[in-house]
Amino acid sequence: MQPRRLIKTLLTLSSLLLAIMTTNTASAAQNYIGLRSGPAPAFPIVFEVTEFRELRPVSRRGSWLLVTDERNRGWIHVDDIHKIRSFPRDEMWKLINDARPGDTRLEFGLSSDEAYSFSIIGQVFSEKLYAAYTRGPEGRTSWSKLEAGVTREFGEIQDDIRLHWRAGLGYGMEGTDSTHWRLADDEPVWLGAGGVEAVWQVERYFEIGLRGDVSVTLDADTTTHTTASLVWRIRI
Amino acid sequence: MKKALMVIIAALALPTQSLAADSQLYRPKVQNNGLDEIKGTDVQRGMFGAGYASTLTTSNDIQPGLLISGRYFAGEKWYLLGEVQLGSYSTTAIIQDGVEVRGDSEDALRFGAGAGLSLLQGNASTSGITAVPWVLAAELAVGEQYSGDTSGRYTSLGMSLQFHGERVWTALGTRQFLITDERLERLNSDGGIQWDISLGLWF
Repeated sequence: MQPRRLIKTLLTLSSLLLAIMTTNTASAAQNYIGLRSGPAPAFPIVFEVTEFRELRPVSRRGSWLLVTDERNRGWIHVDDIHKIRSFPRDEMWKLINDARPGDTRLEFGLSSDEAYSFSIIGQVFSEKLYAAYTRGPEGRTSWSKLEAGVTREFGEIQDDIRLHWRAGLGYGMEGTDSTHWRLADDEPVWLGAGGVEAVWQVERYFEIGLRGDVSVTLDADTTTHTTASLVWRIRI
Repeated sequence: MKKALMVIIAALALPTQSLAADSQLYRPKVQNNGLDEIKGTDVQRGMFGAGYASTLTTSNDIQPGLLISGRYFAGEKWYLLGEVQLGSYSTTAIIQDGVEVRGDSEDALRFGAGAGLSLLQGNASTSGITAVPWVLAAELAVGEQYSGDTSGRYTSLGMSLQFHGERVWTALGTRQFLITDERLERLNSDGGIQWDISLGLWF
């Protein structure tokens, strides 16, 4: 083969190789993002978009964002919206910031003495305070209590299971035939209350806890009640 | 005398000096890079709806009722549940030993709170073009039921099949319940099943 012809062939082959390589690089750079039919990983992906598709946020539910390209709609997790290149960066940070759970918790609990409770736990200055309303079984032997106090974390079992103690002051009330707080009469009574709990952070905004509580009447009887409670908490 | 005067003047000046020093402390304002000024996206916090409930209590007829429910999202799978039901409890009187223990037009008011857990989540589609997400959830609720002149603790465990549209949702529910009301226990009417259909909006 003549040198000139060899160079020509080599140049043609190099151009072809370069063209193939460029095409492959271009297709590899094209990332696809799956959008789901609902706001959870269990919902199936209903359509895929490239990272360059113009998407507009419609609404947010927890950590999930409903987006649309004006033809289709789908849900994407806020941690994945940085993959959408068309998304304004300041709006993205705003969404990530808004999706962070707050410090205030609302709690619903069921206890071993057939009572249920509603509580609010929030940060006031540097202390975490709680207020709770507990109601025992209905009827003439009914009882209830209002309680408020301070709670603090004192340890952890794993990263997502934390231990807390709580101590507070309560006010106990009871029905006409009830001897829950007082044997002699049905007058309201002040209570001292405390407890220890293990709280498992199930999801970003949701916690489940198991708590042991003790309440003592602050009168001559010093009636003591010990209960175990299962509690559900949401962070708002 | 002069010494004493100096001490008094120095003592009076102390709090002022302390205040002056305090005001000179550098307390930078926390910056958020203007995030608060950006228009936020609409937030869906939960579901609110109303529906028809049909209750079958043991030793009683099927009774209709109005069910109002709210669900507040606590995560991808969990939500808090609150509901109020107002309906008929009895249309047939029961007289025992000459005493009417259940009236012939008793109503029941029930309210409860609890939690729901999505067990299954999927997509429903008949055309293959549009899809509606659905959720099958287990729901536990505790509350109180008032019927006639008595009341008792209401506990229910049930399933809810929800179809989530863009603007509205609909749900079919069924549950088993227990009521700790002594009068209803004596009538053997302290438990039963209920099914309901609800329609609602997001909030």
